[in-house]
Amino acid sequence: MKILFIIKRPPSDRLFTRDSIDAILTCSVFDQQIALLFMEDGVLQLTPEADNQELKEQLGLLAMYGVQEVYALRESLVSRQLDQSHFILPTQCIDHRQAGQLIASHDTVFHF
Amino acid sequence: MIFSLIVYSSSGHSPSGTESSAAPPPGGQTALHFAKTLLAHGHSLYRVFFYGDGVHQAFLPDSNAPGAAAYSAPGTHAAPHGHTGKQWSDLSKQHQLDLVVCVSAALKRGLISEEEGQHPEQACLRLLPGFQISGLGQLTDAAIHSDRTITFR
Repeated sequence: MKILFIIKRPPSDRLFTRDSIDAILTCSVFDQQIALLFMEDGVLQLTPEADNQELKEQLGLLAMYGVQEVYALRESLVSRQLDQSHFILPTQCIDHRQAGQLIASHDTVFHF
Repeated sequence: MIFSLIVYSSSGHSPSGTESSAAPPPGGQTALHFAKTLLAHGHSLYRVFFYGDGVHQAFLPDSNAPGAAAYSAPGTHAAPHGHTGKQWSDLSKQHQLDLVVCVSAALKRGLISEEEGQHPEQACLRLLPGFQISGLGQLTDAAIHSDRTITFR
């Protein structure tokens, strides 16, 4: 089953970022195919400047859990003047239209 | 069609909620309306999973908490929609719903103790009837067994 997680919370929302990472790791343990789409303030979770060390460590675990598809919405990066080449995870930049296709191609979308 | 719902936001009385009287109904209330409507249309509800701030709804409000009065007096300014958890409880009684509260989210918010978290089968006293405490595996299981899994945030 293909599951997409849409992540919109900034890294400063510690409780919520913990919740989303927990859910992602749990789904991956159950052998589901996982993709992540960071958008709005959620893209800040991918920046090395994010002041949330625990989150950084947990995001670092994702590859070990087999989560390799990581996307960020281009419009969210542009409006925050971010460059994905510095991100802590290898990230593919997509536009709104591609995000729509991404959502349509997954069986379930979790929106955190 | 088989649905599962994820309730991710509070019903308005939680300490981390920021709803004001001018705000639209919070996600918990919308989820409740959605659940009632889909059941009325003959669909089935596999599970309702309370996650994030949504876990507050599964518990009786602390009598010292700012929004606690709303439990005995629904329709007050503090919580214009009353206590949503009580309404979930009632709906569960009518339709035998599976209402699951995420143990880790409840622990992180101090709603249950470490000890209660290790023995979720011993339901804590503040948990409303019809709710049960379980883990995130139930979220994955719900996604796998439902045609649609909808998040209310």
